[in-house]
Amino acid sequence: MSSILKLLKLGIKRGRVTLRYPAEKTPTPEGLRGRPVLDFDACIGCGACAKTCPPNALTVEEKENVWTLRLFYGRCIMCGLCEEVCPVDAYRFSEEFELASATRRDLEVELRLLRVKCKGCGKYFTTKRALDNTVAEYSELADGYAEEFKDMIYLCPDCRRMDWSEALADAYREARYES
Amino acid sequence: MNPEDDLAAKAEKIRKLGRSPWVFPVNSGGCNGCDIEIVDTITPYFDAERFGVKVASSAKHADILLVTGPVTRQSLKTLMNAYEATPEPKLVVAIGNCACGGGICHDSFTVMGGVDAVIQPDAYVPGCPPRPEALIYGLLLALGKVEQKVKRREFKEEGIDETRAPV
Repeated sequence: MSSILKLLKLGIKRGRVTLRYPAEKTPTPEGLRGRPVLDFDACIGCGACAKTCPPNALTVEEKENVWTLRLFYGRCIMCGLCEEVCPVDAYRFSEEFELASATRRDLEVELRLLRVKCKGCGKYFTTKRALDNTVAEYSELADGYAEEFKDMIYLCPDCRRMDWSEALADAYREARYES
Repeated sequence: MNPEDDLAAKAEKIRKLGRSPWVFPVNSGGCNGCDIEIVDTITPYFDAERFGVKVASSAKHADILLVTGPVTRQSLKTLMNAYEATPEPKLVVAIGNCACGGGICHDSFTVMGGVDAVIQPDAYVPGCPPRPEALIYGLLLALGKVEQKVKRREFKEEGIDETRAPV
């Protein structure tokens, strides 16, 4: 009996410690990485996030002219690597952590972008947004310095390699002929 | 059948049971992080017993199975035994990323890749591990007491032909 009284005394002295969670908002530490939110308008479709994602929560599917990025929250470990590698800062980590869902479908995010064709071979090789981004960045960087390489942006990596090696071979042949 | 309707019906059944929903955690090959969070939720600070949630010592006494881990081949039989031992009506809640979709070991040859490969869970609680609050939220969602916050998001750039057959 006395031990119960002792406990009661302790409890009254201590007061309420329980967090009234669903009714009361829980304190979140600063910089908490909750659900990553993808900005659909900012994403250029480079696929860097899918390459770096450790648990493959982000997957990329390339089908003809459509580039699809899928994010499954049921696998995301909130490591923040996608935010780190994203060149256009399309990811933002919200403080939302109540991700419980009754269905698997509700945990998915899907983004579909258009792909463009290579001017050399005619194969689809990158997204339209990524190409536009490259063109914009290149015009800033090059500044009239390498005008002749500007057309190479519109080529796929294979065609670009061929183009480049042919130009090199030509230059070598010329140099040899002259000497 | 819409899984949400099913969930509400099951929660109604548990309510009709007329007693507190007892839970039984089953570790199906996880790293124990989620199990520690389950223990955390019954501490006085988070106190899941406010909702009548009590950790049962056997699956035969439980109403809700809390499954953690990516369901390894070794633990598959144990998980199915626990599932079959739980009396009807029963709810299955997948706790943590491993149980939700295989998590970090989803492509390993030793795992089934999540609980939904063998049993259809009634609620998914993502997180690695989920915070104790997220766990309480998931339990309440399974019991139909709170609204779901996440919704599927989709975006399609203009010019994508929906009817075109994938190649």
